Formats: sequence, structure tokens, C-alpha cells
Amino acid sequence: MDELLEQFLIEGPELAQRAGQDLLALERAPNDAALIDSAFRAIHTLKGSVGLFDLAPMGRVLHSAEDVLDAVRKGGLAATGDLIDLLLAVVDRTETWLEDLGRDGGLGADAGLEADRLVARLTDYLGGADDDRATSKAAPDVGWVETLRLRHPGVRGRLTAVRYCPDTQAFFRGDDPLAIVRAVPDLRALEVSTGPADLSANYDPFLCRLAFELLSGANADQVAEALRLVKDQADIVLSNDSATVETAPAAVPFDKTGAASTSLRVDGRQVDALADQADQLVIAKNALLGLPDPDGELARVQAMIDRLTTDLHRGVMRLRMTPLSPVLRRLERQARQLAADLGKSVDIEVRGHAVEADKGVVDGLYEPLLHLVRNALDHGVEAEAERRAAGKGDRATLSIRARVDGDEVEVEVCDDGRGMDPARLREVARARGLGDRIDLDALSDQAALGLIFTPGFSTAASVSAVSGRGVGMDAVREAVTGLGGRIAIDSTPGQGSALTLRLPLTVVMTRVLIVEARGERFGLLLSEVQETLRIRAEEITPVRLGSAIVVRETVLPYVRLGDLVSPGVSTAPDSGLTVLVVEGAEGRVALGVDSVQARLDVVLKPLAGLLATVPGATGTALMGDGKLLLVLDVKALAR
Amino acid sequence: MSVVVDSDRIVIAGVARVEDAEPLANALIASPDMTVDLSDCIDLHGAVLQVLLAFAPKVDGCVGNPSLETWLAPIVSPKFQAKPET
Repeated sequence: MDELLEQFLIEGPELAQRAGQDLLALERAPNDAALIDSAFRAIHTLKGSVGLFDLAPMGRVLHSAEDVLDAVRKGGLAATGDLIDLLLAVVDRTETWLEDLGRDGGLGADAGLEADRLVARLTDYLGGADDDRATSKAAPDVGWVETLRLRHPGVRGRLTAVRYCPDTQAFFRGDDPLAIVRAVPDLRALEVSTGPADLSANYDPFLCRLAFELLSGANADQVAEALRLVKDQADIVLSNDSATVETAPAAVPFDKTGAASTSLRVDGRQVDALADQADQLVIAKNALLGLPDPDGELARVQAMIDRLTTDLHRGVMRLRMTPLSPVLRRLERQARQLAADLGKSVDIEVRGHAVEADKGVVDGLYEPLLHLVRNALDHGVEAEAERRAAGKGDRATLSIRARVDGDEVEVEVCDDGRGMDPARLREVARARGLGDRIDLDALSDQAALGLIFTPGFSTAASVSAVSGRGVGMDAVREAVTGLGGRIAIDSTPGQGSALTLRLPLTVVMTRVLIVEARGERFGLLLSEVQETLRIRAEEITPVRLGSAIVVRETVLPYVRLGDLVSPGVSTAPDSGLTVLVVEGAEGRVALGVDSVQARLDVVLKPLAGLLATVPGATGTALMGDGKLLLVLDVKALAR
Repeated sequence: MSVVVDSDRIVIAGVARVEDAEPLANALIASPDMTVDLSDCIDLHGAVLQVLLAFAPKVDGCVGNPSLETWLAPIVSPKFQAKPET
């Protein structure tokens, strides 16, 4: 891929994200000039980069958005909620286009049409803004130029005037604002003032209160060049003797964030390659387990290598940590859109933007979370009339909160809607025929809530366009399990529901138990195995379609792992059996295996390609002997 | 250390850096009537200038100092002083 385009595909989404972030914040603080400036800068930079490629529709939209933001910046246009929504739509569209561009190398067939639509809506706003600007042509904030010139009658001609107010932290950052203004070319007049200060012993000499006004004979571009590092703190204005004043076109505020950043931008693939190598080291380390070690010397060395590889692995994993904020912001925008589409008034609260997790976890979170948000808005949140009848406030609240808890990241999607009724869930489960497999009446209310994660379960009386068809909560559960996490539900009828996802912060070493069934080795997540037992074949009692065993006075369904992974092949029951008690999707299950081998720390790789379709598999791991181990998701398997 | 407090004056010599702002401010807080002597000063940091502007002591040695006269004299001379921003 073209190097320039590659760079653009890294920077573009970041800029779009920042614009989106600023716009969302602007919605809460519509008059925050810093936010308007920041959003403007992001869009401005993005537009500039787009111009380098053949992306005309995107360029048109960004150009119009920039004009609109510029009008807002200059006070000609108010940042109303509608306008911000439109600008957010522009950012959304831009993000989608960037994704398309990265994937297909183009913007897609309907880009021109989409662009025209957005440009038309943006232009509507600009029409109004132009009128406003005409009536207030002499912007009030350039009056200082005239007074400055009056104080320096000896300085004449076409001049560039600057008013520069360094921020209070300038000295701490190592800036000398005085040196900066003295570097302005052809300096004709310089005035310095300092704000009022407490001249007692409390006086802080390192808090910068300086303000500068100056006149230079150089043109605006040269002056802007000298002030490039502090552009956001300086107004640069052209002024003639004839008292006409125009804002210098070059006065695009400087982007502070770029200069202040000390982070290193590394291609994600390089980090992945490094992570892979660290993983392989872990695998090579596991191979040591198989070596004979008569005097225990090897075990000592191994303990040391163990510690080092674990540290290395952790260090590399930390490199992959990315903040959740892009995902949360996309969700927030989607949630607003959905609520609007459904005609429901919902306050959407999102917290935990700073929480960081492994890139793989963060990337994989969006889909399941979006599904939960859709469900909450569509099924959970009631219409206004229903809320009023239930004695609740008209506006519902949907909150999405992320936080770090130990070595896990917890994301909670919470609504104050109608909640879920365990009795009704049991009823639905029975109607869907789930009663054959699960003893519904024996389920506790909490366990009944868990029924929603059972395949094919949907409580909505009608399937709406928003929640859609086909993807149930079981798919959400599977996606979360695939990321090494788990999902839980809590709900009170009439008061709302909370769905909590808990995911590992990093792609952790997963502890698996290696078992053998039908001559093949499989990995089971150790966290899902409760105990290992030896039983005799006579202890297995046939029950209806299956079998059961009694473990400490509890009857557990008995399934042979071999039957699950290769159904239809019947083998004679052996005399002595190893049984694992595992937590299945519908309660505890006794899983029969041929033998239990070792416990192992492995790096679980998500399933790819053909393997992705293997039912009940959650990932693969490479063994020390170079063989691939299929790791099974007991919950999905033991249905 | 380019700020030296004499019996009746505060002498700033050489290049006054950002860290000189504090001793200068302390000296002026202790004795607001002292004269600040810039005769041997070659250049000064914005933070030092800020102290001079805030405490507005009598300043000596600016006029006639080849390094400072052209730009600093108008700034510290009350005649050219801009009104502080409100």
C-alpha cells in the first residue's frame, strides 16, 4: 500500500475520533471555545490530508463541515444540538469511509450521493450564518488593534498586529513567551502587561500572567511562522492605516496535542509480531516440562525461565493496551441515534473512557456491547406513556460504565426500563421447548434470568427493525467467551436490567486442563472445571434419552466428551471412568473423558478460518511439541 | 545566580533565567523600595520581566545598556506602559 495512504489510514481515524469526542463534549458545553477550536482543527487537518488522495466526496463533506465549524468559531453560528448532531453524522460517515478505504481501497458506490446529502444539510446552516455575519461584519474583538496603533502613532503602514496571552503554565513548560515575541520579525512596537497579582509573600513568580501586544512590519505569514508554537494563544490581525482590519487567513490555531505527545506510534503489526514471539517463548518453555529431570536442577532453571517469560509476556501485552474511549464514543453515538429512531427519550451516560485493555479485547467489545445497548433501548426502555403509568420519570436512563477490577475490565450496560420477569422467562422457555432439556421450575430466579443466553431465546413479542433477528443473547455470550470473558445479568421487574461483561485486561495466559477423549487431546478451560472424579461404569444410570450420575447426592447429567466431539461413533463403556464436573450452560454437567493429563498455561488464539465453524470450540493453543490443541468451551458444548 | 542583593540595590547581572524570578520577587517583597540595577544584565527571561512589571521597582541601568535599551526601556518605562488586562 502507498506509504502516504497508510499513514493517512492511521491518522485519519484518530482525527475523526477527536472531532467526535470534541463534538460530544461540546453538546454539554456549547460555548467552550477550546472545544470548538479543537474540533475545527481535527476536521481542518483531516480535510487537508484527504486532498492528497482521490477522495472527492469525503473532501466535499469535510470542506463544508470545516466551513460550518469556522462559522461557529467566529460566533456567526450557534452550536445547537441539531447542528452538533449533523456534525456528528459527518464524523460517523467519515469514520465509515475510512474503514471502507482501508478495507476496499475506495469509498464505496454510494459515497457521492451520501456526500451530496450531507453537504446540502451543512450548506443550509451556512446560508443562515452568512446573513448573520453580514450584519455583524466588524467583529468586536479587533478593537484592540486600533487602540494599539493609536498608542504608537510613529509606527505606520501595513502592519501585522498580534495579541498574545500565554497560558499560565508557560514557564513550567519551559517556554519563554518574552523570547518568543522578541523573535517576531520586524518588531515595531511591543507592549507587555501583567495581570493583577497578590504582591505579598504568597506571590508566585512562576505563574505566567504576561500578555503581549505588538506591531510588526512583516506580513501575517511571517509573523505566524514566528508564533507557530503558540498559535492557539495568539490573535494575528492585519491592519492598514486606513483602519480596515481583516483577520489573517493563516491564523489557524496550532494543534497543541500533537506537539505535547511523547508517545511513540508503532505499527500494530510489529507489536503483534513481538507478542507472537513472546508467545512462542512460552510454548518453548512448556516443552521443558517433558524433559527428564533426575536431580531437580532443571526444575530450578525452569522456575527462573518461567518468571522471565511471564514478565516478558506481560510487558509485551502492556504495549497492546488501548483505551476504550473510541468504542464507548461510538456506542454513545449509536445509542443516541437508536433512541431517536425508536422515539424514546433516554439520557445516555457513558463512563470509563480512560479504561484501557488489550487491543483485541477492545476491538471485540463493540459488537456485543452494541447488541446489549440495542436490546436495552428496544426491549428494556418503555415508551413515555408506559413509564408515566408506572410512576417513573418520562426520561429513561441508559448507562454504559467501564472500569478496571483487578486484572479484568468490567463493562456494565444498565437501564431503568421494565426489567425482566423470571416467571415470564420460564414461560417463554417452555413455549420454545427448552423445558425438555432444562428443569425450568427448579431454576432459581437468578438462573431463570440466565435463560436469555440460551440459543434461540427472544422475549420480545415482536421483532423490531432495531434489535433485528437472528442474533440472540447467546451470540453475545459466545462473543464474550471468545474474548476470554463472561457475562452476567441482573434484573428487577419494573426497575430495569444490568448486564455485566467481565473481560481480561490483557490476552492472558489461560490455564487449561488437557484431557483425552477418543484418542484425541482437548483443552478445557480450567476455570470451568469444578472437580475431577473417578467413577465405575455401574454408577452411570440411564435416564430417558441420556445418562446421569450421582455426585454427593446430586444428580448430574452425564455426557461423554467423545460423544460430543464426534457424535454417532459408539464405543463400549469402559470399566473405570474419569469424570469432570463442569459448569454447563444449563447447570452442572458430568463430562466423561478417557484420561486427564496436565494443566498448562497457554496463550489462547481465537479461532480462524475453518476452525471458526467448529461448534463448542473457543480457541486454539500451540503445544510444546508443536501440535495444535483445540480448547473447548464447555458451556457451548454441553448444551 | 545572577540576582545579588546589595545593601541598597538588587543587582541583576548576566543572563537572568527563569529561576532568578523567585529570588528577585523575594527580595522585592522584603524591601519594595530597593532599586533594581540592570547595568550588567545582558538578557532576561519573561518570568523575571513579569516580576519587574508586577512590583514596578525603580529600574536603573536599562537606558544606556546596549543589550536592553531598545526593547526593554519602553516596556519598563511607565510612560509606555499598557494598561493591565482586566
